[in-house]
Amino acid sequence: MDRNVRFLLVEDNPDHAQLVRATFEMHRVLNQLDWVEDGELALAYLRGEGAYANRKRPHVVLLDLRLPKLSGMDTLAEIKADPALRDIPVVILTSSEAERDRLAAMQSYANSFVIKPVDFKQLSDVVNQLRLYWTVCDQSTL
Amino acid sequence: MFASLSEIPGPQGFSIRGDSSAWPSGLDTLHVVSNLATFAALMAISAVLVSVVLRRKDVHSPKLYGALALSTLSCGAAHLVAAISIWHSWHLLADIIGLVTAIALWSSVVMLVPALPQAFASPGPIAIAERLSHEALIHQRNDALFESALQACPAGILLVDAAGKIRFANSLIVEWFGYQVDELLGQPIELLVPSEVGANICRSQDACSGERARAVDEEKLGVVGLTKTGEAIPIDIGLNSVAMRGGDQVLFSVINNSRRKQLEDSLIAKTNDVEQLMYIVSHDLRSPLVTIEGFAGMVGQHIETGQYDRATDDLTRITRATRTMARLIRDVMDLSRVNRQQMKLESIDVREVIEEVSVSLEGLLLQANAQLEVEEGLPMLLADRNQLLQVFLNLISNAVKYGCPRPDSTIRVGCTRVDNEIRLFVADEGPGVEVAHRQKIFEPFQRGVEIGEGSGLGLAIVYNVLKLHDGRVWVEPAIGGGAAFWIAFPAVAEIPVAGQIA
Repeated sequence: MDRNVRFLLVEDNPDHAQLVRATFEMHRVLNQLDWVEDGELALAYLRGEGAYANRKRPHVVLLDLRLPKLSGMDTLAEIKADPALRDIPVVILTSSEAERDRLAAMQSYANSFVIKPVDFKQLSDVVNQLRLYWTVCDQSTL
Repeated sequence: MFASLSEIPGPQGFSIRGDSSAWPSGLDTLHVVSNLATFAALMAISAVLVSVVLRRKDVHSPKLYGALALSTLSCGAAHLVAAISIWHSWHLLADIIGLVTAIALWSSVVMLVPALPQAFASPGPIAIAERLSHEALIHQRNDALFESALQACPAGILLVDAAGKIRFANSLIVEWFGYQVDELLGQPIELLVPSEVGANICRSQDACSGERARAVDEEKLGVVGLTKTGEAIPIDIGLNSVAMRGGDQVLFSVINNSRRKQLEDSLIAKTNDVEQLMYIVSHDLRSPLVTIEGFAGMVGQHIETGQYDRATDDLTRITRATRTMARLIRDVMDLSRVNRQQMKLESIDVREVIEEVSVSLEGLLLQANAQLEVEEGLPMLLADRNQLLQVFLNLISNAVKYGCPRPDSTIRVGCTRVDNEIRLFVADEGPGVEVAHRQKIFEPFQRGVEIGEGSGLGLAIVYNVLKLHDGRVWVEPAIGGGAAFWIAFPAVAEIPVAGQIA
């Protein structure tokens, strides 16, 4: 995987966050993986507000759906409504295979879906797809 | 025996008419007057006969009447000739008239013979009067039967005339719409069915303008009825034309769907609740499962590679997730039990309940180094003991978990009596609850703050218990900071204690 791709993980459950981190480690993926615990913090991070003024803008957001304060779905809607953030791909992480989550997320333009527990193969497939997406985007902006 | 015709005295013994010298003086006048009077009477009779036959279309044998009329007419003519005979002797004319009279009378006789049995068979006026009064009685009975059938009908029944005015309303209509019968009679149907349906029913059938109220047999479903108090009720209407003595009317059979709608709505709400709960439970139950599955997959690798401290960490996480899952399952069971189980109301000393709770939460209180301060004057309540225990267990453990940021924090429990309510509170010294979350936290699976480790069902349980007790629960800032969770019971739930002034 492209070393320069930076990830932001939005996950309230520390165990699940640790699982994603461990999955990265296990596959010797050394990409930067930052972690925030709720939707409000995720938006602050993406916008570089407050404590996150010096953060580097992530390339991919891994977003859990069940989050305190601002739900994953609302966070996704905010990201996609913000012209400055709209083009950051969002991968939904969820423990639910329920179709209604997928539909709702697709309606808010989630780029992809990964069902927990995170399977690294699945995750890297998604990232590869996203790379294709970036290539297309870059070309179109040229 | 009779004398022979020859013995009858001849005309020579009589004086000729018109020979005034032979007649007594007053006799001429009498002759003329009596004949003219008879002539007039017979004319009148024949005129009456003719006019009766002409006016009535259902006369049995008009020819008979014709013959009788002719007979009286010619009899009359004979009397006229007789009256004139004082001055002129028209013997030929008198004989011709006599012949006509004879023919007419004999034809009448011939026609009378077959007509007589018919005439005897027709009912006389007394029989007709009896029959009429009997018929009136039957009509009356039928009307009464018709009305009682409409009254007993399990649907609301309205009869509407050609002008769109209500002519009848049964007791269900009265009950549902809140009007008295006499408030409805003569009113336009739009009073009860204000939508265009009422008007359409008439207009489409062209009944309002025409003489007859006609309705194609049809149904109007999902119509809105309007009660006297202005409340809208969902109704279905069936329409039929009925022939009534005063003209055709439209029969409205009304089905009231209020209760069905209510049940439907509550069923939908319940289904939504269950669906929501199932959705969230499936998420929250899967969450610890994901942890267990994930770390169980890793623990082997960590042991293989000799990373024993990490393997231990993996196992700790697995154990913790298992506990979370067990707690979640228990809370879901508690919540469903609160909703399902029959309530057992008994008189309960709230102070005792809180003492019991404080004993079972001793470890937690000690760990947080928090004090539980219980005010005087806690009530005796008529409530379900187990449910009340659940309420305080949840509220006080929440207060310890989220409301004791510093050691030596105090959790206060007390009560006030306001506005027909007995209100109890559990107040902490924590950060309080943000305004935006004050409603939401009572929904299932809403965790107040991110440090929470609960199932998120505790306050939903509290909410449901209070709902079952006709009470309510809310949160507001406590005096001096922190959150105060209030639970209120209706004042009637308090049992007066001897020696205490309520």
